Amino acid sequence: MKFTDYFVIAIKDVRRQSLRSLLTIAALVISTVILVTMAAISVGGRQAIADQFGSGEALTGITVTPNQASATLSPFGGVQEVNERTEKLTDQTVAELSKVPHVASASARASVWEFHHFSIEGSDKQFVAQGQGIGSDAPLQLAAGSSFSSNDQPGVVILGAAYASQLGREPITLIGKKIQLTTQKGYRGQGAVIPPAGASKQINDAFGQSETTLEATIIGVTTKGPEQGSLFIPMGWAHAIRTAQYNEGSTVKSVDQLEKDGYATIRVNVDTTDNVKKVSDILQQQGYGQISTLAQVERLQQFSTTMWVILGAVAAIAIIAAALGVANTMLMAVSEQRYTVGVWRAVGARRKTIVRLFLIQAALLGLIGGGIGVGLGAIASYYVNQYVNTLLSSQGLALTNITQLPWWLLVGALLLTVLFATLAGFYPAQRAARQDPSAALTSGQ
Amino acid sequence: MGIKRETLLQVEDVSKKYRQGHEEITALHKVSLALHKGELLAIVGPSGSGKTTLSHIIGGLITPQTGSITFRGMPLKKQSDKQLSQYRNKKIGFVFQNYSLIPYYSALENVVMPLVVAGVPRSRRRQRAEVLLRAVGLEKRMHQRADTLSGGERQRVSIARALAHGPEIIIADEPTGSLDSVRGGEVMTILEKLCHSQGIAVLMVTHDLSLAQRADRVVHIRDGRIEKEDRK
Repeated sequence: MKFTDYFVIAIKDVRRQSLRSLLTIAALVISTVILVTMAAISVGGRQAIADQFGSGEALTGITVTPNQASATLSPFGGVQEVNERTEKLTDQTVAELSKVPHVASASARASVWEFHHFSIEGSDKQFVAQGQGIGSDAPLQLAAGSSFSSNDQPGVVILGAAYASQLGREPITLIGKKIQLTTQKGYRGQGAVIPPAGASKQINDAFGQSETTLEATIIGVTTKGPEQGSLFIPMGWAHAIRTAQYNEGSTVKSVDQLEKDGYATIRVNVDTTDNVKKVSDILQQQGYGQISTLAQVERLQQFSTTMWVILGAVAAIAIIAAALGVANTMLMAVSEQRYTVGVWRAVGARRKTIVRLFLIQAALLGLIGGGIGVGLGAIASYYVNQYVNTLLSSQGLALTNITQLPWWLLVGALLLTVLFATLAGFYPAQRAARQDPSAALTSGQ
Repeated sequence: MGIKRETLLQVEDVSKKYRQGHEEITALHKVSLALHKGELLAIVGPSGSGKTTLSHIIGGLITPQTGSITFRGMPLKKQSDKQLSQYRNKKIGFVFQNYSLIPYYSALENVVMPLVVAGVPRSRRRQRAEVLLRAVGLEKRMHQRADTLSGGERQRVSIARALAHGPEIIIADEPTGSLDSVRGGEVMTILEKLCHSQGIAVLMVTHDLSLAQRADRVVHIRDGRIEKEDRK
């Protein structure tokens, strides 16, 4: 018997039991949609991690933190070691860290909390500003433009790659663009017009609710990596912004908060990724609180693997449930088509032919259900991505592809559904082939 | 003495028992008979006498416990599923009382079934089925679903299917059992023609003695044993 004949007969049988076939196909569609969506999220998640940390060069980074909690550095908890060595990170700490074996460079990062949001010339979008002051000698990988010429270079910024992605712009096209930086309310740093001494309570209250707008020019855009969500400014400007001015009597006084609190982190770059663990251990032994990008990646990948297993288990349960539906449908078909099987046997069909007839019928259900499921799964994954990006965008965060649909995933999901459906049809098919043709023929239609 | 005809099938001492619960029922007990080329052999007997079991054993649908069946000297009992299936496909054509058609297939699709199993190309099998349906007078009904045909038409489709692969033996189990006398007579005429003009051996199982009288030979069977044999 030819394959096309098996196929034509299977189509006839599926169409004949249209309602039952439809319900079985619906179960297969749902399970395939779940499978495709879960797999798309897992694949997208892994890719997002890879994008977040960029190239292997970015993995040589270790972030040293002061003796205080820093939730942003360890989103999944338990990553950061508490710094017993120092409660305040200073230029002296930077110098000490530079002398550790295998450390290629060490540079300070100052968090500039005073920025609230910013917008880029030519776009209405507003972004949450995660300002960071860095030294002009800090090694920063740039996709376009140049680093700061000096720590005191005023009114210039280096933009994280994520913002360029979110704007859908090539990094090079952003060089020279102006940005408007809006400060937190009640900002007292450089550029703020503070109330004069002896100002009324009303004036002071109004000042507390006012924002200051600062202007800067983009001179560089970073590559993708762990720092792609930051807005870098020269360390000198960071000091000026973090210096709070206030009136004391008739004189204006100022306090450099950065000087007072120290740096937020120090970024240590190790010579090779092979030495990251070694340097990390040395820093730990010396009492520094630190977290390596490599460790972060490993933990995120562990998390991603766990997610993969959980999502995979959910998808597997859905597929198995649908396969049981196929088995049930096929068993009913075998029972109903007992007489038909007898007729096929009487006209010379072998047991093997009967097995194939039912297996192809089951595979056809899988093919239809899987095909529709893959299509709907792709659409569902697209909307999940859109939804997540809308949420990220509304928070001013960088866009990412949380779901990804490589061709192998679509083909694999379809093949898996067909395979499960076919396997589910195996027992009913064997049962159909084993039945006594003589008894089947005398059983009546 | 009649003309000596070529023996197609030889049944010797065939017994078949069934188990029904704890009870063992003897369907056939040491039955022996021969079927010759171009012969119309009727097996008559009351319900439950074992005639359908005998026809299914001859058709390779059931294997007997003891005894032997040989088709042109080839023992059927020792054949594999593949060989028995080929025997049914190429050498045997079945016509059943309940027509044994697939109700949701068209007349044409039912007729091509043995050719589909044999892997005959689509155009050739369609051509063959059209010839056969024309021969049984169903050229205008060949695309009708089987369940929309009348009893007589269904039985003619069944005969056309039995002839699809040019069999040497047609096993007709109560072929007129569900038909009125006119339609039954038409079917009987077709079977007679097959024997006498095409040399096909027809083994007809019936409990209708008047129909059996049109056969070349009548074997009477009761309680799984052959009682007597009448020749024309």
